[in-house]
Amino acid sequence: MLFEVKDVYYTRMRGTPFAVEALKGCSLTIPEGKITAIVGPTQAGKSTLLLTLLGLFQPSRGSVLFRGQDIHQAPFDLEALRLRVGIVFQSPEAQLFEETVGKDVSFGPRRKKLAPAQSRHLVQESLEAVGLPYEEFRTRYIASLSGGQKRRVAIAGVLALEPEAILFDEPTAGLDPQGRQELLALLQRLKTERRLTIVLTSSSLADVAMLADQVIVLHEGRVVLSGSPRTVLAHAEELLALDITLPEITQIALGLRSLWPALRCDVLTLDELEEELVRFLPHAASQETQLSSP
Amino acid sequence: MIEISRHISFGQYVDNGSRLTRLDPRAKILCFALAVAAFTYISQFAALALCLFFCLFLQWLSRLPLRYVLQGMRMFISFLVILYAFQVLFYTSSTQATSVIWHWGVLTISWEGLIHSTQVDLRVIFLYYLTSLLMLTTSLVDLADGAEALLRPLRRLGLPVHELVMVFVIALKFVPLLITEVERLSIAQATRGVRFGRGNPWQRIRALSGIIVPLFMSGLQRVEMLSTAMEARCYRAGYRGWRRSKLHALQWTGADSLALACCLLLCGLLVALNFVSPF
Repeated sequence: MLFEVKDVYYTRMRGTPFAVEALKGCSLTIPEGKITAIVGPTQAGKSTLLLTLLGLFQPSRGSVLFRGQDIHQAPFDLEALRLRVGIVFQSPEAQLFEETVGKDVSFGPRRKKLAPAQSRHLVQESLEAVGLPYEEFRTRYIASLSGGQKRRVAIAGVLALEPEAILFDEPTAGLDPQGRQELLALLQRLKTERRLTIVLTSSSLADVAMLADQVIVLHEGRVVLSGSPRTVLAHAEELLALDITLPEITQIALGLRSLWPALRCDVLTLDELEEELVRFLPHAASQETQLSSP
Repeated sequence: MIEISRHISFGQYVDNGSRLTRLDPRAKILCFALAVAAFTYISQFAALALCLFFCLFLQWLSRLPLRYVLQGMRMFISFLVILYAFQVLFYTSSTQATSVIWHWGVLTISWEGLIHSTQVDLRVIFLYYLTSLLMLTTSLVDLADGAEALLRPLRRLGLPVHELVMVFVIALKFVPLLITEVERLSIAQATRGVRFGRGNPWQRIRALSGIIVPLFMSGLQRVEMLSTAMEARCYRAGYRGWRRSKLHALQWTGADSLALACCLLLCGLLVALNFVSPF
């Protein structure tokens, strides 16, 4: 296990009139080399959870373990953890603070005091991994980039740290359908080519159902469901009640349930839905005649 | 370092429906001005003690957690402590003889220096408390409306009252925004290996300097966004024949008169006490 979260409580703005209990007894595990999706409606505590994993927020109760070691216990080096586990924030502007793309991406390597040649190589590799040509973008000003490009620069900045894992906070929010597809493909590539552990949050299962190896559903600071996408989708109605967007196919299956209550709704692809429908086809024929006759 | 806004309450507004938040902003600003004048005038410990009681009474009325307000003053007070040391060490008086306790070169510690500096700093703390309480209990819009209504007569003199008030209020309210911004930047840098609050003072300053430039940049961007938003909503300040209407018109009630009367009484008491008191 890369991360283990044990019964964590965290209150934001503790001790002020604005205090909000963000995590209330949250327990989960994040396996190594897999894609874990943390899904939940807004205010479920997803972003807080990510920042807690990195030790940026110290839980008021409970513990966070990284490879079995408590990250808030004395011998553990939090700065080293933050260099080994990167994070990409929801809004890319929130992450970029240097003037030019090259300077921003090289910030991590420079902090690590790598040799200039090595740092340059890392920057080039990272920028190219996210699909931004090095020579063209190196000297561009951050302010002149589009939203999607900024997001890629933010990811490149994290890749340049050569992390073992990356946490993504709502990586697809605000992207157009094509940008979303490209980003999800990039995540898949990072997992298979670089063997990175990936944790991402989302308020929609539509994006992550095909991608994730494990889905954790968070609601009001607690884990309500977890397992493979299929196991979680089997509880489609509960998910809908939590305001979580389902994949289109699941939505269709759910709609068809009014005709065939026994229909499985944990289907991910069109083919699976078709197979599932075929099981009901003899009944379907009789139902259809029933429906069409006045 | 990461949750700075937890520790700085300056410029925040807490809408808890207490008596203080419900007062008319005009009354609050008038009382504030009176109290500031009186607090600045006094120079005796007995009067300062009365100030303390007054502040405690306001604190009780505001129903804000005391810890929260004090936490917000922590940074300010640590700054004041440094100032205090300088005040004491370099105190000189042209009118009275000083009883020196300790002396080294240009540095002196005298009883008069200690007493004088303590009084000055206590006053500054009370004034800071009043200012932060005014902002904790008054929203941005109320503050602007109240100040504008009070300063309206100055328009006769050709002073752009509305614009001045707007600029002042925006400046005040940018404080919490900038604090959030510092928080965001320090999180972003901490995730990429910057260590805050570690190492010698020089290293700490170096780590902070990386925040200042992006802070200014984002501050300017925010200003630009704000001005665009105001432009887009046809905001116009001093336009001839243009009268802005208000969603919440200010209303002076009995409670406001009472507050003002109490404040006047307090000021009278403070001044009197200052005369009578032997120390």
